[in-house]
Amino acid sequence: MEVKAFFIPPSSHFLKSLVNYLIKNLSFNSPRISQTFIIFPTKRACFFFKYYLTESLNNKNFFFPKILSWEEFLQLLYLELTQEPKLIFPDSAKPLLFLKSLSSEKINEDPLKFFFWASKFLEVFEEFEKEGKLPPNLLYPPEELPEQAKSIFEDLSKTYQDFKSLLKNMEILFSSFLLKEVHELLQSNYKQIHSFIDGLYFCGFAALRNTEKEIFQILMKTLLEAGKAVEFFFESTPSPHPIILQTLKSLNLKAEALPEEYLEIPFGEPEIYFYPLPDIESEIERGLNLISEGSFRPDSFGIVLPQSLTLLPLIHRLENNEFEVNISLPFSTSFLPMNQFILTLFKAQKGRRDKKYLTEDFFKIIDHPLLKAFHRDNPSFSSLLKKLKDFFEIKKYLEISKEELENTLSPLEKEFFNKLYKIFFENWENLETPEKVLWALKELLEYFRPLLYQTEEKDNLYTYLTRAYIAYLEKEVFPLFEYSTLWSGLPFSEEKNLYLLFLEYLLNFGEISLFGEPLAGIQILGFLETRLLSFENLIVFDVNEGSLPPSPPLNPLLTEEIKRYLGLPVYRNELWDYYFERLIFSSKRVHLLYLQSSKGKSELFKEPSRFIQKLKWKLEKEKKPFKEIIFSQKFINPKKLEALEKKAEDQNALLSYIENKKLSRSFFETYLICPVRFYFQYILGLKPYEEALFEDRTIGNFLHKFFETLFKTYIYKSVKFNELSQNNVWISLFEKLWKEFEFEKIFDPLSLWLSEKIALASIKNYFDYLSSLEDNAKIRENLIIGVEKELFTEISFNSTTLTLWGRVDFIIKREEGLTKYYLFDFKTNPRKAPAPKSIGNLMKFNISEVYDKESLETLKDCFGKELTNFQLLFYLYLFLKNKRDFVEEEAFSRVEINVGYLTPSNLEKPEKYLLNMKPKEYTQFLKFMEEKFEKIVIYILNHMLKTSFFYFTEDESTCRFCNYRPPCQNLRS
Amino acid sequence: MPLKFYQKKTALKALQEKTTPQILGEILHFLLEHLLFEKKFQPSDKDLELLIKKPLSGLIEVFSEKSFLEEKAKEIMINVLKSQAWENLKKLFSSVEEIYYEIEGFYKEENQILRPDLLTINDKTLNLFEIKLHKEDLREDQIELYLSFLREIYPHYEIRAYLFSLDPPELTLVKEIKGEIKKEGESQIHHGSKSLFYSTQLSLFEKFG
Repeated sequence: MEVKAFFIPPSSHFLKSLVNYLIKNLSFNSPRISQTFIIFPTKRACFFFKYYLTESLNNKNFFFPKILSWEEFLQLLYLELTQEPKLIFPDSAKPLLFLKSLSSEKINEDPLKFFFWASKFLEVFEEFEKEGKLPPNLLYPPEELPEQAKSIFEDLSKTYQDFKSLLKNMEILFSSFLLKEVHELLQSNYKQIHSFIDGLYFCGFAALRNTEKEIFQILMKTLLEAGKAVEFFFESTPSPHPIILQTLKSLNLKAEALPEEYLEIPFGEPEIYFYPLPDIESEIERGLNLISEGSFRPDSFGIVLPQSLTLLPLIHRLENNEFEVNISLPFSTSFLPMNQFILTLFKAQKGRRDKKYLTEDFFKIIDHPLLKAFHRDNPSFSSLLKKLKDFFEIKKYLEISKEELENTLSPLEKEFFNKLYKIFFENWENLETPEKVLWALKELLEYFRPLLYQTEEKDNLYTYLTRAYIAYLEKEVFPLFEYSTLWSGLPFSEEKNLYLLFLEYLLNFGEISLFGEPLAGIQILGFLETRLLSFENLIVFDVNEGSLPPSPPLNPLLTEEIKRYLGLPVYRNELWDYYFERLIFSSKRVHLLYLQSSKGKSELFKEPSRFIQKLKWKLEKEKKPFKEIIFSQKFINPKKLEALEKKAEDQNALLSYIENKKLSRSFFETYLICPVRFYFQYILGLKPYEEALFEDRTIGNFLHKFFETLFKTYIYKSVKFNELSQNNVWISLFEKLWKEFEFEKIFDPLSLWLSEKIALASIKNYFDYLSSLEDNAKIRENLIIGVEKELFTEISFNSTTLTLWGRVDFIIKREEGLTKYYLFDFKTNPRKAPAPKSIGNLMKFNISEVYDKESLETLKDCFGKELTNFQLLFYLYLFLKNKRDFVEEEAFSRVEINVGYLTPSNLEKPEKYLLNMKPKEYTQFLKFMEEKFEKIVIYILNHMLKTSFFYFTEDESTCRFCNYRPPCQNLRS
Repeated sequence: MPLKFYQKKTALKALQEKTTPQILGEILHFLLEHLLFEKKFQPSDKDLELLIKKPLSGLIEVFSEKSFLEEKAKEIMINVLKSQAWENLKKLFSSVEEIYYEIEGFYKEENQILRPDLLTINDKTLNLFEIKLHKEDLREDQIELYLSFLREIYPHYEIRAYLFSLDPPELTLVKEIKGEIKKEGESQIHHGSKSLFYSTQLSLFEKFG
């Protein structure tokens, strides 16, 4: 008997043709067929083969042969042949064992770095396992590698043997090492296979590594000698791809075309369509337009996703369609909400100092979307979250302890909070043993268990991803922490966070598998899952460089140069080329979608896959038709809205506001800056978008509070700053307030020290500034007559009375030869200054009956850049309305009034005034303020009421920091 | 109707979908199938330990229960090997020509894949064996299904279905069918239906406790 080998062309439907052949040549009505093994490279191919077999044996009861994937076959051989069964550990445990096998002098880096290098060396070992060779030492490793990597390379042979000995002693095996283990078992126990294998059919294998080749050879030889059948089927035309030729050569096989009688479809050509597209959204939309709703056979539609992340937008778009789907692809754990949540817990632990957490880390956990979704209908959680948010907003602590938070909570809230704290914080604090890690993880999953049950009832992608993630934890993560021997004697055992770091490493690089079962509907597949499958309609997304072929992370230890030196084969993309070619030619209609954009070197740059170029070139060369469907952009008129139309209810809301509320300078200012912002804030009453909670509590706020408190103690008392600066009163006040502000909880020690110095210097500077004016007799007396002084006035407007209101930070009366009254607004920004030059424009402003966008812009410009003068003028107006409270009437003509900004942090000019004018101009200005400013205020009110629109500002600098930017952009576009 | 997913649901320990009795069942299944297939009726301690360790080697997710499972499986088997039921089983297996385990059959009437535990064929007689921990774990409808399937393929054979329960060890003849002439007029099967690739097997050791 001799080995038979056949070619089945991809266009003839490999699996169906294979079924046709086997049905004619094997008997399926005896259980004896269960000892005939049909082996495929993938599990998905097994599934489809079984489907076609059942379909072809229509109307018959029958027994199945043993249909296994290569991986399943290896596991079966191992179990049947071994006399010393080892524990098959997940590959995730390999770095630990590798580190254990190294001598301690080779390890002095931090553990995370070493996990990285360990994983890279393990890839080197895996290459040698596949080749069935012992690694040699690399005497001259590349210079650019770290010292430790070089030292391991120089001693590679012994390192590998030590590692393998350790595995043997611990009776541990890794699934990726199963190949070599089975190879060794077969070499000594090959005769055993007679008892359970009657015949062997290898179907659809392409490239073989050396160890695989040797396993095939042993099986072939053993079975042939016993007169049992061994046959090979290659998916190829009679002019094979180089990769198939190489396999035939290595197995010493001579293949022939499968007789035509068995071919399901005679040789044919697919219809090929190319779709270059500008973005992922268009790509998905285009792809899905190719599918009509309905019920399909599993081989009607194949959707191939070389980039598994595309699954999320794809399913999102498919969600409301009446489709049935199988999804079979690998998916990275790093995109899963539960995984991200756990990693957030680790971040908090890494930032923890003693019992204190960085507030930002703490907040990210309790405000995590997963937790909020979990507690969506739980009022206790919402109220706790709000309370904690409020606390953080007020206190703005940099770090936070459990006790500090507990003090703000009611007993009931405290109980709920403590439960959360234990699961998310406390359990992760002292992970001195692997068992504690396991406990912390299991408690966490137990907490979220209702979420699993809840999602179980829902048939959605999230359910399956979550289940697969829990399965990943149970198989790949938990066992590592259950087996404490794995950790004993490990270097870094002194490292406090070792277990946490390793767990983080595992969760960052985990991969889950989705598997569609039972076979039904549209097949959504990873690229490798398509092997040997044929579809009537094939839609391949992301046919771009980087996806097809993929660009796996570079292993600096397995460069082409190193591989050559180590005697390892160098593969480029031959295998991917073969898989792509067979996929295209195995389908009836092929739709290849890819992104094509040329926005330079940014991430937006996308290039079609080299396979697209090759395929087009091949089709053109052979003069075969194909279609390129050019994306036609539906252009939407990009004209922006000029304004929002004012509705009757808006007008009513506005009227109600002005009649019932005190109108502040912000009310007017907001309208002048941007009427749409005004609409959001005052008409709709939308709270501004939540600003970052942990914005530093500025020193400016502290200085404001300091001067406010200090000046209050001197109200209506004459104060000499050259005396004040010499006594300790202000120092005591400074220290008291500094303590109250709790800056030590906000700043790191260096920032704290610097901030204190800056605050002291600012105060001292302002005192020195005033002292020098006193010394030069420019100021003879200082009298503080108002601190945080509220000023009101009433005006008549459309037969109602409106109240205008303002709060002036400081009102100071100074004797400077002439009596002067200063109204100061405290500003933390040292560069903030009034715009005296704009006053002239304001005085010239012509109040008209026009209430359009242009008139508003003209008025706005009269108050200087960023409306810097409006506030000062508004306060001056209010002061003048209330002047009798401050100035005796007969003295009024003899005094001068000024307004300005107080900016102690500006060391050169801590006081900046608006009015620097000659007496005549001053008199005219004062007259303007007393007679005309109110008319300007009324003009603004009229504009608000009489215009039919809320206009969008055209000043983009205003929009940059606007709190209403997102809703505004939505409305405008 | 929104998008409908057909996805494999891996049994999760966290949701008690994969229980210790079920895993013990898998181990004992493997062990008994191999002993009977190899006609090893008086296995040594070493044989038993090896056949217990083998299926456990791939069940890393039950690592924490490994010792318990090893001990429990061995304890059950030692008891079985001393029993009269084992002696009876030995008689049924010692002279048979063909023994099959882990077989899969397609039963077109029900459009189902069936997996009986063990099947022996000898001189126009088919013996089907189902292994359960307790006698009451057996689902007779399942046995009926297996028998109907076998009768369709082997209409002229005598077919007997046995239950081998382990605790206490007992071998029971559940049903016996004499050979008959195959009937005409079979119902159609519906290929490609969703139920096709749900394999059916009697659940093992449901009431182990």
